Amino acid sequence: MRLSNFESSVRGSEDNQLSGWRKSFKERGEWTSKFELFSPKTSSEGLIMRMIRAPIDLRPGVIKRWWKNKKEEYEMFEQSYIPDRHEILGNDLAAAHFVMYRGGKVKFSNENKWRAGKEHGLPNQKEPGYDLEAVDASDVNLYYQGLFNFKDLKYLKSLRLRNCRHMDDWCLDYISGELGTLEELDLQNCQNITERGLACLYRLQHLRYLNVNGIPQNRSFELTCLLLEETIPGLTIEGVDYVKQ
Amino acid sequence: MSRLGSHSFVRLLKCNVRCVRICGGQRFKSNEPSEFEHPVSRTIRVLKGDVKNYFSLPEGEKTFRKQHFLSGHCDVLVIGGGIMGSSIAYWLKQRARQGLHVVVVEKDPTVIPNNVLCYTSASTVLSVGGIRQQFSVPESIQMSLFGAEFLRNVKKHLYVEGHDPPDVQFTPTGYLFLATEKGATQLEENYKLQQELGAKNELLSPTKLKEKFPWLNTEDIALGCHGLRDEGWFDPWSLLDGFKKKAINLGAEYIQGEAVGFKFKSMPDVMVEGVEPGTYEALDSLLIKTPSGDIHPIKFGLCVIAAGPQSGAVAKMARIGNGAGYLQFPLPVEPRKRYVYAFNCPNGPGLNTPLTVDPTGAYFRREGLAGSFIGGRSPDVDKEPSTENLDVDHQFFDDYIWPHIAKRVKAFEGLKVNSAWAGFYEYNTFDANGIVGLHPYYQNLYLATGFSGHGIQHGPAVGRAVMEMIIDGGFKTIDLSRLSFDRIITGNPILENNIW
Repeated sequence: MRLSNFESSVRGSEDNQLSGWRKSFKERGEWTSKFELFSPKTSSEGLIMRMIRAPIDLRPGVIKRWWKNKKEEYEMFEQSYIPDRHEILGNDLAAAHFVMYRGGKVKFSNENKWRAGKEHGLPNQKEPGYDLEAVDASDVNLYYQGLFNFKDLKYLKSLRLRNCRHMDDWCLDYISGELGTLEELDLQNCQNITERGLACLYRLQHLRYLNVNGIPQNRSFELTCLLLEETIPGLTIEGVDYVKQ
Repeated sequence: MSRLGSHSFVRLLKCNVRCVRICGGQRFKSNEPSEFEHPVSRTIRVLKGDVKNYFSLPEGEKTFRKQHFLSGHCDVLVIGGGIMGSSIAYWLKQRARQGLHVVVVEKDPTVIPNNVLCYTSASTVLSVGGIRQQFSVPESIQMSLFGAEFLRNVKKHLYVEGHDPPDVQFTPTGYLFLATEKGATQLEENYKLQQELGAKNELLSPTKLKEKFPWLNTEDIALGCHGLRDEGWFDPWSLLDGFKKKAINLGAEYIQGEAVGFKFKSMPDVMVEGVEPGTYEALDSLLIKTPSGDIHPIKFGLCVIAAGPQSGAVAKMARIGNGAGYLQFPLPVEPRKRYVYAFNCPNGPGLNTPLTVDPTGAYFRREGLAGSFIGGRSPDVDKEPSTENLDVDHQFFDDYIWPHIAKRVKAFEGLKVNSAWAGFYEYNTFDANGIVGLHPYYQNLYLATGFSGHGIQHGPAVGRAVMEMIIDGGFKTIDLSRLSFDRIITGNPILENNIW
């Protein structure tokens, strides 16, 4: 094959996708292989294939861990964002339904009392006048996926996530980026939070109260809290002790 | 004879390997059965082997212990054990488990005894470790989003029994890209594309910028784009270590050695599109120079070049760039030295310092909490430093970085440089974006290189993409077909509009 022919046919071809010169015999329809019978048409190969390839490991600890992972996966799937819910109910009501179904409490801006329980009597469709002001999701065992249900909440002032074990730095990243109107954030006993996640809370410029009781602390953590109080005017942090004996 | 396409080749290989596995619980290194074995005794042997395996060590421990026995051949050979190579090994082993024998060859010299590989000049560990979605190439945005999701769940993905789960120490602080009048429209277009693909950031006018970041000098800034989610920096060494430990635990084999050449095999019966019939020469095995100086060949079924900055040199060994036809196009990846300076400025910006990127390309970010920062800048094209060693040029900071960041942040006029280090970008001289996919000539050579400074954040995604190419025959999660080697041949660069 002469090099000049090859070059002229290749360069200057506009389409970068498999244009004529790169289509294989199979794609041009000239020839097929019998191995096509074995091609995985979809990427999911199912439980059987994975079981065949993996070594047999039936130790009780491994099975327990596998079961725990499966339950966690299911829980995360249950908490994931459903676009339909937000379309039908609007952002505020959807978040309220989500929280109350799981045992949390919510408060709307036009009322003075907390609403809780599965029989809440909230409307089933979008209705104006329901602006979510406070959410108490303590003990709800919220995952990162669950936080996506708090979307575009323009009036949210307070978020309580006490004892939510799975709240970590990534969750704080989401909260500080999405819920810019927050004035009160309660993270008591969220053990997985470190000072790195705490540092990104500088984005919440309206924050007035932050509770970090029960989170494992070290010098960097305390320094971060000090710097946060400097960066955000009007912020008080509860649960950190600056003066050590 | 019909063309041995990559799909059918891999399937043939898998059938073979399955036969080998059925031949017993132990792993034979050869494919031919030794002598005739009575079916009953074979059944008993297989069952005994399975029962023994039930009580014995997990797969990975056995491989790790066989230190002095280097494999003679393998299914997939990954050249390069940095973030790309380790990620590819992890994804392959995690999907195929015992179905694929994966070997990773890494050349960085051992310093610590017990054969622990110590990466002294690999780009991965010298990287600043940032992750951002603010690109203009859609594939890059998708890969970064995937990377962020992977890092979020890294404790589950890379959990090895008996060890602590890896802690990548992610600091979610976001990137802040600043643009002058000239670049404002491009920044806005990029922002729209990023929003479309699922990233979350906000456009800030100069007044808003001044409000959020009072330390910023917004004199000539027309627009800023601030990342609000899944952007920040993390520890690249932990991620690399996590990938490597998990890959070894799943059965991948890490060999210390330097690739010095390939052995070719003439296959006149194979017909490849664009190659004169009868002239095809396939890659047969890789010659590795072990630390003791011996040359050891490893025969492979598939090879992946993920050698970072040295990928161009490795590709040359495979005649890519000094052959005829498709082989006349070299792999345009070469090392480019980049400096990173750590400096201290006590009255500099506080907590609210994202990784700020100036319109000139100079960047800086907060490091720790005591007024320490890290900064750098890509040099202009004609001022590229020599790549012979990793020595740092301190004059570079004074001449090319300090004026710009001091202009951007008044407090930086009084900074003091504490230390600096240098690392190599695996720079793609063609268009500074990664090259992923099968090589057009060789039916068993994959490329995963050329990421020009973004390898660390795209590592998990590229590893998964290469795994899907090898096992599924095509991309399933993120479509990276635009990033293939083809664009080098057709001359269609995919340019990124803000790259530092």
